[in-house]
Amino acid sequence: QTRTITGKVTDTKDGSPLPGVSVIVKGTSKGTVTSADGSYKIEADAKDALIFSFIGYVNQEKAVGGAANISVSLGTDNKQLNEVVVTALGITKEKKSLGYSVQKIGADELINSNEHNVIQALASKAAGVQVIGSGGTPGASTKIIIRGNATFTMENQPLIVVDGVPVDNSTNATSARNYPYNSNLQGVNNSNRALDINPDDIASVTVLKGPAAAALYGASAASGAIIYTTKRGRAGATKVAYSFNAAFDKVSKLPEEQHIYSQGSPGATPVYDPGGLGSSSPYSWGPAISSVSGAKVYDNTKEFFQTGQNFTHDVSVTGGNDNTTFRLSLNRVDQKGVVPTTDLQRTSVRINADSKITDRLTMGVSASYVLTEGTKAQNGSNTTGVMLPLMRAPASWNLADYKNEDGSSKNYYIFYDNPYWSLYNNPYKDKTDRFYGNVNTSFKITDWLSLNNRTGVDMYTQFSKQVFAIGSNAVSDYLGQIEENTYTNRNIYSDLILSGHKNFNEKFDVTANLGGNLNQETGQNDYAKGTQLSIPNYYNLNNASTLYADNSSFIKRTSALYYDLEFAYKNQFFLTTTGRNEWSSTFGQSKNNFFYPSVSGSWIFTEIVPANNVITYGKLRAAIAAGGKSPSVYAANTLYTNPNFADGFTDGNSFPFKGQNGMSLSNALGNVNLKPERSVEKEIGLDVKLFGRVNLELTYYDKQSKDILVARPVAGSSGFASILDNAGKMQNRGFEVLASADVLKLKDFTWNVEVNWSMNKNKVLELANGVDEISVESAFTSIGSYAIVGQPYGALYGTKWVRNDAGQLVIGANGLPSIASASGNLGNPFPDWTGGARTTFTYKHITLSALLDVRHGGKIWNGTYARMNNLGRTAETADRERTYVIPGVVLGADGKYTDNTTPVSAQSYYRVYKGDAAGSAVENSVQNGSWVRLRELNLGYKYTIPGNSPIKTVELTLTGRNLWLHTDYKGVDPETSLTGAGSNLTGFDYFNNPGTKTYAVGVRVGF
Amino acid sequence: KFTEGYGESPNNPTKATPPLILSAAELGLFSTYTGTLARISATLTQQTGGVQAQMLEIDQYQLLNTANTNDWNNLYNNVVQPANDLIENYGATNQQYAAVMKIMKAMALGVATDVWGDVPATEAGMGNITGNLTPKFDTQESIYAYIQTLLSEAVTTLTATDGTNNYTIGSDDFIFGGDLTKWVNTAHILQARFANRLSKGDATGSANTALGFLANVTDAGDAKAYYGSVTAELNQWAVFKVDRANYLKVGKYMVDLLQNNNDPRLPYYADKTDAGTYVGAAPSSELTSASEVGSYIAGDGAPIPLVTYAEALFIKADASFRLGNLGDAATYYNQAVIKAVTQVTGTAPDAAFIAAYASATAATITEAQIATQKWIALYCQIEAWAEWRRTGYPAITPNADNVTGTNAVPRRLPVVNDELLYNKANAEAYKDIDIFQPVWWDNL
Repeated sequence: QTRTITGKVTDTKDGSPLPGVSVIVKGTSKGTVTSADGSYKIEADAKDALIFSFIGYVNQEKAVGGAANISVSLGTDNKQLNEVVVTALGITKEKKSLGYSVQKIGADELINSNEHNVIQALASKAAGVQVIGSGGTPGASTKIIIRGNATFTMENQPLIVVDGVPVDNSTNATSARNYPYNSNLQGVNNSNRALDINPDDIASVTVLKGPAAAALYGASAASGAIIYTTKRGRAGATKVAYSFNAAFDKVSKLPEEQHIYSQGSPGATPVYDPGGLGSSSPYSWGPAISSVSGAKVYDNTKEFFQTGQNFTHDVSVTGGNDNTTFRLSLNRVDQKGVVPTTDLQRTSVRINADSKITDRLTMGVSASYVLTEGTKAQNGSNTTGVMLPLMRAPASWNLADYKNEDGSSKNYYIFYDNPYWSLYNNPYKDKTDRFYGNVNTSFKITDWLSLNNRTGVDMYTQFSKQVFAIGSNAVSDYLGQIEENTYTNRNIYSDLILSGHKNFNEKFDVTANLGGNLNQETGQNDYAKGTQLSIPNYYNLNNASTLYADNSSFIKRTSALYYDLEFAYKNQFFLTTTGRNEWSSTFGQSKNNFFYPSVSGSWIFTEIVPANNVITYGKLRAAIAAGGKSPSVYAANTLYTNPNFADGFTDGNSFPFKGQNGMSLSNALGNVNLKPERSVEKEIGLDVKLFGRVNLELTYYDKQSKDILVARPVAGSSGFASILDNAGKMQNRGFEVLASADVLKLKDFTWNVEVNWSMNKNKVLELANGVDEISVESAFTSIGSYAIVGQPYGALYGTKWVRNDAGQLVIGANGLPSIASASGNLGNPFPDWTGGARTTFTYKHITLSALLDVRHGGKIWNGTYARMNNLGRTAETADRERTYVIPGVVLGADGKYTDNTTPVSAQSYYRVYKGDAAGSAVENSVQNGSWVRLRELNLGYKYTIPGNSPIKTVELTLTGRNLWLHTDYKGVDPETSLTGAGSNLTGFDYFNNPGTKTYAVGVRVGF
Repeated sequence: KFTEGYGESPNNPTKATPPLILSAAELGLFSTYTGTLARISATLTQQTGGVQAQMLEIDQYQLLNTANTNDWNNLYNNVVQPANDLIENYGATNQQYAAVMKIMKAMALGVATDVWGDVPATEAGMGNITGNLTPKFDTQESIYAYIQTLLSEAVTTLTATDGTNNYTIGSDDFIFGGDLTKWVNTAHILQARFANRLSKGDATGSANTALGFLANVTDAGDAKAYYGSVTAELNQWAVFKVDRANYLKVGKYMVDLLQNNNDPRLPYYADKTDAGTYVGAAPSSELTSASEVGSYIAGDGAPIPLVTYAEALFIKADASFRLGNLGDAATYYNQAVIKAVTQVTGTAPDAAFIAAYASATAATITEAQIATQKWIALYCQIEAWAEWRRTGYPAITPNADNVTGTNAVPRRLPVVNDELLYNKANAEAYKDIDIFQPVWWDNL
């Protein structure tokens, strides 16, 4: 007998009413939606059950029985297995129906990380996801790789999607087209453009690790996708929330230096070099400072870094009625870095609005405007940099006294800029104006069929200006330089999807999506350089005696047709198949489209297991999908270009030259016969819930990439350096574990633990015909990053010591080892495994949580350490009043090896054996980058003010980031990357800017 | 279709013109002749001393196969490849351009084989034309023959009165501004340079051939790398001096010899130190306070000689000496020294210098004299290392404190690693040849 049931749905978190929750009578199409105050009214029978569901919340089922009022509270607990997740193309699905692994990360986890960059905020939070920061300076890029590198020289990072529309995450460097080297090795730590996303606007993040993403997003998601969903409005009284966060950064770790010996060239007798003269050397092999009259000890490094400051204000307004909801937010970040003068400011405004125009037609808009600007510091292999002149500075020199009377740089070695002087006189500033957003329209054709369109745009202009003052060593004639660079990018994206959902005799459930996509990316890059400046401290191009300009632009178009078809049987078996055929403008003549299929399935095996308390939920899943990439733009033809002439030491001559232009064929050969790069990924997994409180997700995957599109290096003697080609095979196999448990669940106290662990084994299976090794990207003469058959991708590759068959170091008559004639593999820069463990304690209104982050393995070339040893700057080199015997063996006249006993001087030991002086092999400075760190520590207190106070809630948080770090790495924080997110090089540290640790306090007030 | 018609790059053309390609190849040639290979040559023969970083490694004979990839690629990518491109794709209607390109190709291949021994030559730099991305290595003997063929073909074309030439060479030619007679003159000196190199195998024949090529050579104008005063046009030795400060100084042997000889070239070859004197850096001395390379080579806009009339005179002296024409040898030698000094200082040497170093007679002239003065004249040119290997003069002492364990001056560079990686089948044979093994003409 049918009667009216009423009730109210609230949020378990704060008891606030939840509008928009769907309430359905189980097994029927009867349903309603809760109103602004969370209340609902529905007709149901006593034997019926009601299902309450809301995106992002756990579904609940309540038997009607005799009750007239059924009120429930829904939780957002993402550990539950029957949650709803946003998948590719913005299609929301119940997690249990998925045949592949997805991981959802909640808004709190992003906010608690206290990072301004939404990519860096994911660090150690997801299994199979490696986040590689590039240092602690404001705006420094962060790279992200999911399930290992899948391609050799093209993009290995996932697609970033906000509210269903891809957003650009490029890392744009300021570089002239005629610059002959890899501009990532020096210059500033550029930003990856996901920096423009305000973390406070994010409601949740879904990491699509492989097949699912590739199969529906196509080529751009071949390396996975990260889907950010922003917070939307809720019907009800208009609510205002304000939060303020103040964070203070300190340098986390630096190489240890000696403060005993003075500046002086190497030699048998130490001679004090007072520094600052044309003939002064950069070495610290002088006598003890205490023995030199008038000389003093300075701790330049300690003096140099300052406490970084971060202030973040965020205001949001949400509200609406049954028909229209909205959310408005305004966010402002002000950061000052640990390196003096560096800063970042970001202002973002966002509006999200949804409106039910008629019963059938709903429309929504989601849009952001962001202004990101800042001042960046020089990094890396750079005599105008921060760390290079700083870490080399002798302890007998006062770096803080940085300028001469005429304002010029004053330094211990005149061929480096004093780092203070450089920061004050050689600023790099950038400014990005960005708008991104979309309009989505949904038209309900019938009960079970709807048509959805989502059209979005992402456009930005990034302007950067690098100034080198007159006198700076950055410019070879000391006459100063101005560089201005503007990137203008625009991406227009539109999906049209027909969605149907039908239930057949309560057992079969079919969901189908059929759609098409059009995408156009355009970009323009304008670069201008002025050199030989006339008036000091005046930085307009009209102050330059020589001007250089270049530009480039591109248009890339793709179109696609796709489908996603899901069958469910008895809510127990799920089978999904998808397919996408994509056309791309970047192919040559042979083939311009390709097809990505996928099949995945899941089985909720607990449906047939008798009810028990051990396994309360269990799912087996399996998926197979084909992905792939299309070539980069304009790769099909061999083109003429203004050539570069680089000998590795100077920037070389370039055109225009003496009033003439010059062109020759680019050293990259085109290829009109390109095929798409293919990858096939298989995964199987098991999800279980044990004892009602332990969740476990296990995944094994095997991803094989073939026909990899690679700028395959060719013999220089062919007249070319590379040809874009389909060559090579690579595999990634890995295992991912996600576990969470409610260890204790008392009335006022809960203790929860979450663990993620993953390992990825990458192996290059095959390269081009006859080629066993290819360079991933140009690096240093002494060390590079290679793909080597049989080895993990990106292996560090450089000079090695001569060893005997037993692997012992062979020492020469001079007591030193020598360099082997062949360079070789020096280790894998990617970790063997990584893990994150979060533990959370909640007592009444107080929450305490800690995130421990472990990285095991992963080699880093510590070029900083080698050079500092050579110069006599490391703490170790203070032990120099003695000789050293290098452990190794000596080859006797009898052909037998005996232990080496020949002593060498401390200078030989540190400069050659441990350093990078002539005769040293680079293997001596490849170090283990493992770490264990306390990535986050959060203490929160939340109080709901009862009654009619204008302030409804107050929340206080204390956050620590990287407070504790354990590592054997002898340098800066090993979470470092010389080249940042715009590069495929990993594991390089050559005077990289240091990482930071943070102490933060935040307050959040709800009105 | 939505995606069609967007394949053509708005940034780079698919066709160029002969003047554009010639200009590009000339800068490539400048870079080859005046870059790292020149610094290696000068350091190994102790004209300069490497005192820090990579230059110290060279000074200590740490010559690894990973160190010269840029130089190898520059030579093939920026000289040989554009030369072939112009000859094959534009040459039929621009024969003079093609001929000049042949001379430059010969110059590039000459350096390649003198430095590395057997190298790809006949099939090299043709990736876009033949599709051959793994050119075979030619023997040095056949490369020397190939170079002579290229040069004589060039001379024939450039001296012909007819021919098809859609474009006329002009200011796009930085070396001679389109003066084809100077190119012919230079081609003849080059023919003589490579003929004379074979003296170890055939002292008389090589001398006769060389003299034959020089029969009509005049002091028409030296082939030089010309630079400008704006950033992109700077002399790269001058830039190196600043960007890589304290890496490379003048060698002790050179400074001592010039000082001892009272040679007027000293202030042009070396800068005074902070202490106001001329000091050379001895091998392994790491003497960063030694004199910088002077303005003749490392001056801001200074042109760097590539092929000179002075060299032609030295070849004449050397060839005549081998033929036993000692009178001629002495005459050419005296002319050569005076010419060499004049080209550096701008004025003829004084009487005392002439009396001491440019007044040889048939009775006094020696091979050591000719070779040593030629070594001085070829300051910072790659040719100096080749000639030192051929003649053994001056008698420099190898750096005993070198990293190889062999007490000798290196006689070649190892074939670059990238070639071993990407042209494996052809390069494999050269993998284990050490740097002390003489090249073919050095071992005749």
